[in-house]
This record gives sequence, C-alpha cells and structure tokens, in this order.
Amino acid sequence: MTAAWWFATWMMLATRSPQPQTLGDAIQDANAGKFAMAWTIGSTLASPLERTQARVYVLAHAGQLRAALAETNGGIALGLHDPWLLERSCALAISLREPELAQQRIRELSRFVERQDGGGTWGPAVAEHEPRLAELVERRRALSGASVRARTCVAVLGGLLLSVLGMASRLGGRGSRKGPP
Amino acid sequence: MTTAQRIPSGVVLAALAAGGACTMSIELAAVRVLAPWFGTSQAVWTNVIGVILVALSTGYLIGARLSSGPTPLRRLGIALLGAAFFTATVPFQAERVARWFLPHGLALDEAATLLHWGSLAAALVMFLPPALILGLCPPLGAEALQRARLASAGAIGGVVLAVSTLGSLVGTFATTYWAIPTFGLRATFAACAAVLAILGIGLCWIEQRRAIAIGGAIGMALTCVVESPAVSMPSGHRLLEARESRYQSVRVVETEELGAPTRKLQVNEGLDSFQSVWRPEPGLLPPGYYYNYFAPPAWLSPRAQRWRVLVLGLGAGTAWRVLDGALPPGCRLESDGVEIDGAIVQLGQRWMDLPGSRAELRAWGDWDGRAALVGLPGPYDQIVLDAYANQTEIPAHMASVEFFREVARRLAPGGWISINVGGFGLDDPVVRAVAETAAEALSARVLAISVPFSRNCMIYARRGAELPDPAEGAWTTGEARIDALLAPCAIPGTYGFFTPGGDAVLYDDRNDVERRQRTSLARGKTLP
Repeated sequence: MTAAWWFATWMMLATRSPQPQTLGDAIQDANAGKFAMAWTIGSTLASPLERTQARVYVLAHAGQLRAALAETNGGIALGLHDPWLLERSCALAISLREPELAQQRIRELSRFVERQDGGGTWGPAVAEHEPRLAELVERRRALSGASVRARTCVAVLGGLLLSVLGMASRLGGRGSRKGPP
Repeated sequence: MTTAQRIPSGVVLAALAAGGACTMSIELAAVRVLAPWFGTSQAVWTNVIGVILVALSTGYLIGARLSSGPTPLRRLGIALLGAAFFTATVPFQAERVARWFLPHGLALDEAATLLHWGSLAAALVMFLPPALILGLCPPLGAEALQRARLASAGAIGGVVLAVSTLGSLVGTFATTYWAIPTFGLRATFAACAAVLAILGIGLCWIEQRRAIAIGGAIGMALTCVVESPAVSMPSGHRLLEARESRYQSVRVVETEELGAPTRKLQVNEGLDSFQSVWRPEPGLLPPGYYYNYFAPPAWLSPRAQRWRVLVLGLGAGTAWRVLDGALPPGCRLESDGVEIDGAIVQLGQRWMDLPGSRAELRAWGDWDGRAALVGLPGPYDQIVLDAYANQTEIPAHMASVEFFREVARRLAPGGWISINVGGFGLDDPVVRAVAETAAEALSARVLAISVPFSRNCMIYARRGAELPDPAEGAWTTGEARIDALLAPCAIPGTYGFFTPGGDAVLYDDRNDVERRQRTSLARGKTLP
C-alpha cells in the first residue's frame, strides 16, 4: 500500500461525516455563533431549498442583511417559492427599507396563505409585517413628494429668474435717465 | 440746495460696503443654515454659491434699470430695508422650508438624492430674495454718487467695486472666524439685518421718507424681540447641547438603546448617522456599531503591556472608550487622538467622558488629521482612521497613497491600520478604492470586512506582517467577546482581500473619492 493510498483513505474518512448533516445542524451552529461552520454545512446540503434556507439563516443571524436578502432573492429567482423564504425576504426588505420588494413579497406570501396555508402558519407573519410596511410605504411616498416639490420649485424659480434676467437686460437698454441734469 | 450737493457719499459707501459684507455673510451662513438638514457637502456649497451668484447678477440688472429713476438714493434705502427684512426672516423660515423638501425620519441613503435637489430648492426659497435685493445696491449707489458728480463714471465704478469687495472681504473673515463661532447663526443673521436696516433707515430719513424710516425701525425692533425657533428633535431624542463650531453644526442627543441611555454626537444633517456614541460603560458597544472593530488588532497581535494608538478623527472619543474597555488584560491604552473640530472635543469632554487631562490619552483639537501627522512621529501599534466630513465624505487628502504611506511610516513593525469606511458591501466603489489605495501604499494585501448590522466596512492593513485570514484558525483570539465580533465576518463573501496594483487607487493628484461616494449612495438604494 502506497502513501498515496493512505492519504486518499485519510481524506475520505476526514471529509465524510458519519451521518449526513442537516439544515438543523446549520441552524444550531449559527445559533451558537459558529457562522463559518454553519455556512459550510449549509452549502453542502443537497436540497437547493434547504441550502438557500441555511445560507439565509446564517447570514441574517450574522448581521449580514444585504447578503441575506441577496440570497433569498437568488433562491426565489430559482423558483424556490417557499413561504419561509418569502417571509424572510419581506422582513429583510423592510429592515433595509425597500418597500417595493417587501410589498411584492407580502403579496406572494398572501397568495400562498390564501391557497395553501389557510391562514394558519403564515397569516400572523403577514399581519405582523403589514404595519411596518405601511409605515415604510408612507415614508417612501413622503420622499417622492419632497423630491417632486424640490424639482418643481427649482424649475419654477429658475424659470422666473431667467425671465426676469431677460426682461431686465432688454429694458435696461431702453431706459432713459429721469434724474436732474 | 441741489440733489447733487445733498448726497452723503460716506453713507452711500458705507451702505455698499455693508451690502458686500452681508452678501458674503449670508452666503457663508447659508450653508450652515441648511446644514442641519442637507449637510455641508460640496454639492450644498455649489448650490448655495450658484443661487447667490444668479441672485446677484439678476439684482445688478434690475438695479441698473431702477437707477435710471429720479431717486436712486431713496431706492437704495428701501432696497437695504428689504434686504434686512428677508435676512432677518431666514432663521424663522429655515426649518419649515427645509422640512418641506426633506421630510423627517429618513435614513442617509434614502435622503441622498434629496440632499442635492432639496438644498438647491431651499437655497432658492430662502436666500434668493435677500441676495437679489442686495444686488440692487451697487448700481443704485453708483448712480447716486455719479449724480453727485463726485467723479467720472469709471472712477465711481472703481470706487463702488473696491468698497463693495472690501466689505465682502470683511464679511467673509468676520463670519467664519468671529460671528458664527461666537454668536451663532441666528445672531449673525440678526446682526446683518440690523446693519442693513440702520443704513436703510438712515438713507430714507435723509431722503425725507420718514414714514418708511420709522416703519423700518419698528420692523427691526419687532424682529429683535421674536425668538426664532430651534431645530426640532425626532421623538425619543433629547437635545443635550447644540453648537455652531467653525466647521459645522454640532449637537449631542440622548436616547435610550437596549435599556441604557445612549448619547450620540451628530453633525449637520445627522439623519440616522452619528460621529460619536457614548454608553455608560466603556468597552464594546452593542452589535451594529463599527467602533467595536477597532478592538481586535490588539488581540490578534502578540501580548503587550501597552497598546499605542493614534486615532485620526477622534470625534468625542468613542474609539478610545471602546479600546479602553476592550484591550487584553494587563494591556494599557496610550493614545493620541486628532480631531479637526475643537468644539467636538469640548462636547466630548462635557457629555461623553472624553478625558481632558490624562497623560496617556492626548486629544489634539483643531488639527487636521494629515497635517497633525507631522508632529506625531509614533511609533504606534495601531492607527485608527475614522475621519469623515459630514456623514459620508472621507476627505480626499486622507484617502490617497501618499497619505497612507505617511501613516505607515508611523507604525511600529507589525502595527495595524484600521479604517472605517461607509459602504454597501465589499464591492462598494468607496470601499474598493480605499482598500486598494491602502494596499498600494503598504505594498501588501489588506483585509476588508463587512461590519454586521451596519452599512460600514472595516479595512485592516499591517506593516511588515501578515494579516490573519478569516478562513483560517488565526481569526480567533480565545476571548469570547472578541471572537463573537470576528465570527460573523468569517462567512465567505463577508470579507475580502485587496492587493496592490488595483485600478481604483487614489492619489493626491488624482482622487475621485467624492464621485465614488455619490455613486456608493446611489448604489446603496438598489437591491443586491
């Protein structure tokens, strides 16, 4: 038996766990703050849905919210229309102040609730997000309103100034002195 | 007695000088008036200067037209009174106008576009009227002097320009170095209005327009007794102290976070960002505060009895406070801290436990970070770079290869540079540029990590020593609270190395960090 054979055998034993690791293991490690380990476990899961769920869970618990949202979006774009992913995507979008995406996710989640869930599990989640989402939408509306006001004001006052400038320069040429000789 | 003989040239020249001075005072103070909402970025300065210039040119043309009338001196008096009125009202209308263009409660990235358009619109509404009316004064004054036949048109024009420009010069220096830091913004506007009103009343009185003069005097007195409103605080925040420093509007606010009083030092627009934070206990702050990431280098280095740190951008001393409570046992903090705004150091000493007289912690107020390097030869075990103008702007002269080389020369062998950079992830244009610039200056790879629960990244560089790789075992310290900080930054994608030779390197001569910051904020609004 060659050294290469021994090395290959050791590698096989070292890399193969006695039992396949699960989504639960990834979650457990993430909860224990072992994020790199949890990520590695999550990335090796066979099911694309569980892989995405594990990664989202790990990233969100590690405070990497934008990366977690990117992961949920990636999963949903792959056709993984899972209520947990939709709910997480909605929550993350609200945290990152993205009302349009949060609204879209809450619509998708509501459709799921109507069709399959019957309001049991995911209905309260939808209800929980709605007030924060409404607040966010209102804020976005205020933002757009302020933007329109600012641009309109600049356009109106700018136009007014230009007209005054034009008038003053034309009238200035025709002015006649009325003062004392 | 003819009109020509009656014209008091001294008063007219004084009015023109005052007009010039007040124009510059309004221009400089205008940026500060807008600062609590829109900041004092280059865009805000550009908008204000643009508005003042267009107002003045329009005023000159209208003034030229008005000067052809029979009573230019009287018109000059009325114009001064009008300018005084609009100048006096600026502090009263500031918050209402600003809030119309920038609603309450927005985060920095949300407000990014509004800062430009909103500041332009607010500047037009608030500063166009007084500046335009002040623009009427030089042609009216020149005409009045010309009619007195004091000299030729050319000579009068020269005198008017010289007097007005000298007034502007006095207004410029007096506003920045004396009026605003000493008396504040409202008093500065009130003083400008008072000077203009007194001269306007005087000219109207001389011109036999006693009713206008008396009306002007009453108006001025009324303006003096009405207190202008202070900037309002968001709910749950208590204003502890606000100041107008030489550089910015500064305030300390207190709120409750995670069951403990938390004080934040905000400058200018503030929005949801802050320059310093204080909690009752020194040491690590709750998750989401980037200051915590100044602590790991001392733990990732060989144990020492003292840890010598230079902080560029000390603010009110949060970096010191975090390091003081989070260094390895038996390790004493010795530090120099440089802060450009001396008022911030004073506020820190008053409200945020910033040490005033500890020999091992020396605060250098009123010093620019780069300029101060000359007098701080080191060596330091760690140099913390946390220098920001406003909320988002890393000063260009503190983000260049030349600057990082100067910094590296002050590091002890194996010493660390830790740089706080606001940015949305490792591919953010500002993060990339600063990291590549530091790598180029040190001729070594640097490590950038995405700070959890925040929109900040921390960049680490070392002099003559390898950085730990988050993918390996060296990214732990054995200290639970520090390892808890490091663990979230060991996930692939949350950290990255940048090497020398990148294409985003910034130099003193070629530095587009401001453009990158605008791009960063715009990109921050798009989803990953």
